[in-house]
Amino acid sequence: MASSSRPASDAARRGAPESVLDRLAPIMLLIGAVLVLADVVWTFTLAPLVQGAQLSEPVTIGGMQVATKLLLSQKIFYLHVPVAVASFAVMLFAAIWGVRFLMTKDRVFDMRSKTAMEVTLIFIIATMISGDLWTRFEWGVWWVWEPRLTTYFILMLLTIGYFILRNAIDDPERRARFCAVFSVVAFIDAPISFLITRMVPSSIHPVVFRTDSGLPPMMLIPFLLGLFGMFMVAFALTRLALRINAQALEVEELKEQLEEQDAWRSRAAADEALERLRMRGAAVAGADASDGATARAAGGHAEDEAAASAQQPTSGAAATTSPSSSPKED
Amino acid sequence: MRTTATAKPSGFRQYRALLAKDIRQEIRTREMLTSMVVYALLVLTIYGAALAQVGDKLQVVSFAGGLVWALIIFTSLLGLNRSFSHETESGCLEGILLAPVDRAVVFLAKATSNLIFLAVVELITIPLFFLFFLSGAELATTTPLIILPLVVGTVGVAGVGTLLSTMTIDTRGRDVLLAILFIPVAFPLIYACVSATSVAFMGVEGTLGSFWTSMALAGAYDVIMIAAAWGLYEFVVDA
Repeated sequence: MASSSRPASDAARRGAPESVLDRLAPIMLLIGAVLVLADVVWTFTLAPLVQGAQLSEPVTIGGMQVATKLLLSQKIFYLHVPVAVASFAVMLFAAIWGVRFLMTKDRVFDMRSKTAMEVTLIFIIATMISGDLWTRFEWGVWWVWEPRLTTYFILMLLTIGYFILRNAIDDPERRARFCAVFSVVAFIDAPISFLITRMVPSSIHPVVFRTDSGLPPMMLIPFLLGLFGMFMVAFALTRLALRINAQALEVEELKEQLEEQDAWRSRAAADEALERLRMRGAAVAGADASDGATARAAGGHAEDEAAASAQQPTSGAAATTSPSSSPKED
Repeated sequence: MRTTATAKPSGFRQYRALLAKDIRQEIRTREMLTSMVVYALLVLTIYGAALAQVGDKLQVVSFAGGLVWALIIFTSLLGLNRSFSHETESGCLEGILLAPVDRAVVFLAKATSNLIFLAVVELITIPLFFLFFLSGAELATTTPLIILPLVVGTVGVAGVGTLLSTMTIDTRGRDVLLAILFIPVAFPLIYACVSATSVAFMGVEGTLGSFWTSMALAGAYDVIMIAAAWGLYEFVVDA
């Protein structure tokens, strides 16, 4: 009976198009993993090394005169950038679902926004780890307050803050509302982080997405493989997490319904007990009155009985109205 | 307030009434301003302790911008937490929300009152900062330009802070939560303002270009964030 309150959301949750995507998710995960693996293998076998910083004097490596340092650490680029781009993409979905929640007030979108945020956090942490390895080997420090790194670090803090906010509010309706608002506000940092290497010229983080990058095919292909592979992995992970969270939400709603029914049943039982008590009270009163009335006039007895019978319909009416009124509440 | 019983007051009049309410409350209690100014003084004292051991060798001017902004952010966090605790007392917020007032007007009035209080605190503490830490230093000719990032930064802090402090008002551990949400959200603004303020303090020839770049960034952030907060405020107070 409570399911009638949100038929649209239930239909959307158990609908046909979702199940197709859900069935697709494991396959996508597999394909994505294979693509990323191909990217990694290609990276270390076929992709050429990148010319890095100028050396102080030319050296001979493998019979070739080399004037610049060859950067083995650049290999992280093929993994780090796809993961980072995927984190932005998933976060965009978190914000979109947050807006959808604010528009529809449907709990399903809150659940989706939360799920997307969870996946975002995983990808952000993966980006931070892979980026930090590069930072250590290439720049010689574990961390530097550079615009791109700083804004991305802030993105991580915002994502963590999202979950702290979630845990700090008990009321599910308010929690969903505030978290949706915060997911939109937090997402504003994502384009800033993406664009900051272009806006701030002093940034030492390389600008990756350019039309004039001139990446040779041997480097472009593994990069694109990794990018699409990582998108697929992100999609599949989000899909799988969505299924788990949707079921958790369903369990939660069922639990709420059970609790409501339980409360309703105990209320009905309490009403019934009260009515029985009243009846007994009326009977005892009637007996007392009849004891006294044997000596007195018969009019008093009739009055007591009238009072008892008048009491009965009202309590009976209260008992019959309570079940009919309770389904309206949920 | 109303002259006729039927005419609905304009949005500007509602805004003025809400703003006047906040200012009147502050003038009567002086709760927020006092605590913010005293807190700012304490932060300055800690700066004094932190910089006491370095002697005269250190050029405070080179990082004065950062110090000023750390002072402003921590002080405004305290004030923002306070600004809504008034509203929850004796159901004031419910009363405002029951009145047929546009939520955007409520947001603008609250943000303006926060902005005014922050500006008053800055008017007191920034001269004190100069007195305590920069009285012996040679100030660059571009130093008066720091007013610009201060204004733009304070507007942004008040706008974002009003949205976030409304969200955290009824949560568990709201003081900490406001800091956790506010500092990352406001970070791009702080970053831009610190860089603009530092450039103005240093006054090196030819760096004024980066001052204007930072100011443009801060201004863009203000516009985007206040527009977002304005649009989203409805969902935050709509209980």
